[in-house]
Amino acid sequence: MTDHIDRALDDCLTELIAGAASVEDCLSRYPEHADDLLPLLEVAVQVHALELPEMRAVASMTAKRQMLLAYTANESHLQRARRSVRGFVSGFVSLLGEGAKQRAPLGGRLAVVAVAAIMVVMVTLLPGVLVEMGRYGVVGQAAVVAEVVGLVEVQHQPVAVWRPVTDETVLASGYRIRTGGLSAATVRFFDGSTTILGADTEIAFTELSSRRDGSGRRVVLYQRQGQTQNQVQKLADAASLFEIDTPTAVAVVHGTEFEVQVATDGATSVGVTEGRVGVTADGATQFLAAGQFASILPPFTEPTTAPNATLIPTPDAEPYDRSELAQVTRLAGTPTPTATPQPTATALADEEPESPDDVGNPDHPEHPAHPIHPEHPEHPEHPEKPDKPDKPDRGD
Amino acid sequence: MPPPSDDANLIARAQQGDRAAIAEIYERHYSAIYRYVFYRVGDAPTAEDLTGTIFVRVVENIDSFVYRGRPILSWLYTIARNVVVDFHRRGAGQATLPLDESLMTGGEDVEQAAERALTQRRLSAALSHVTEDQRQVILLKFVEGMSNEEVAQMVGKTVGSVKSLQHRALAALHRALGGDGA
Repeated sequence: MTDHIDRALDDCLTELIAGAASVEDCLSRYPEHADDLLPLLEVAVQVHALELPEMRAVASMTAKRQMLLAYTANESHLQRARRSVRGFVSGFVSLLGEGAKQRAPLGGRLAVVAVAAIMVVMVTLLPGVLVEMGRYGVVGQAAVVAEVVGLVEVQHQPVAVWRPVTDETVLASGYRIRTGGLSAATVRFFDGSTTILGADTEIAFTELSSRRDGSGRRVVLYQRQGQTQNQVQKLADAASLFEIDTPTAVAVVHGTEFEVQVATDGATSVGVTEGRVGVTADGATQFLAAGQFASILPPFTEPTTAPNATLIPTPDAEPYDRSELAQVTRLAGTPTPTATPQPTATALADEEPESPDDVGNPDHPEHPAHPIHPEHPEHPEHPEKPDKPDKPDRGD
Repeated sequence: MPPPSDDANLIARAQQGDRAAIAEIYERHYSAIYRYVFYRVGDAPTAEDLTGTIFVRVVENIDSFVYRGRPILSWLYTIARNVVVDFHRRGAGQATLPLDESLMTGGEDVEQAAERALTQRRLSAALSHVTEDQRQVILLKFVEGMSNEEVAQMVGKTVGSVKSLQHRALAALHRALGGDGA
């Protein structure tokens, strides 16, 4: 009985879906099951007539980019693992093969046997070692260009040519990205952090990496010029960081939102929207709260009054006016003119200082001298390498 | 549905690091996966996010996937089901099913559009009250337009079982919609 209804229902559904029959046609063909079939066919018709929900194009593109980003990261892990295992196995096999082929003297054969024994021990221990390596090894990570407005180009060393960004542009360490006038781009990093590049902005991807187990997520950028807005994911462990270097400053933050603006002369402004950022100028650190900002001038801007720029944040946490960010410069310090260019300022953050003693923290040595980025004071191309010239040791 | 050998080839290429292959898997199947998720969570933005998560999970597991002749979409549905279950387990899926704004545009009469959106919403809600097997048969057959043979291959059952399952699925859906049972 049930089989018969199943068959009758299936026949009706096939014809209904094909448009070859109506519900009434089906019921008249199977009058003995009409009462059972009617509600089922009505439901089937309703479901079949459902308007198919479609994913929005922008969401689909974003999901595809996320997937390709994960694929790139995953594939680089796998290739390294495959290479190491292949190398190990082939080396082992060739060693044994050589020993077997040659009629070596007794000492030589003993040596081969000893090496083979060592290899066996290594193979026994290998799984544990690989687990540890897998956990703590550092792997390259990537970022994707999520949104593009206007002219946005990328460059990958050692090729000096700038190419237009495409939908699936994946960025890794060694890449640079720049925007033209009236242009903008959003870059989404593997850890979920995002950086929005304003017009006429250029950044280089100095380091994008993590440990194999997902900890130690490091995003290090060099912002040569322009303006960025950065939303940084809360980082789970001390080894993770998000850092933006500029010609005159280094900003290291954990879980915050901030802006960095670099003028053509290298002057840097840092404004904090959320969280806290520590800014170090000439070895002295001040922490900026949300709504505060600070600017760091290059050394030759005011040589008669402030050659050794000391940075002072705004005194209170009132929201800053972003439009004025570039214009506001606050400098203080003992005017000790000198003919030698001095390092200007370094912005560092991780931990909130317990006391004013944190100023000049020995863990963060003075920023090395790199006034106004000597490699390319004016030239927009920066082909030598994406890294900033010098970087202070963060001690992590 | 692509032939099995095509799926096998795509999988092999994707496992060897061919980005074009993984991109093709996405292009072929993201719509079906999105619809499956949409009818499980009833909310377009959430369904979009979860679809992204599903495909990230696909590439994270592609290397360990062993092709055994069943369509790759079948594997994708398995991952999708797990992701949706995780989503509901976190308690994130308790929100009521909203009207899909995208269904209310297009220049038609507002009342008609609202009625249609309401039907969509009721059906989406009802689909969440049937079993996983029943829901999958309904979606594959009536939404994705697969034949009984294709559905059988997807869910790993015989054609006879699929016919029986679609009967029970429609009856359950009728009850979930407030019918008096079938």
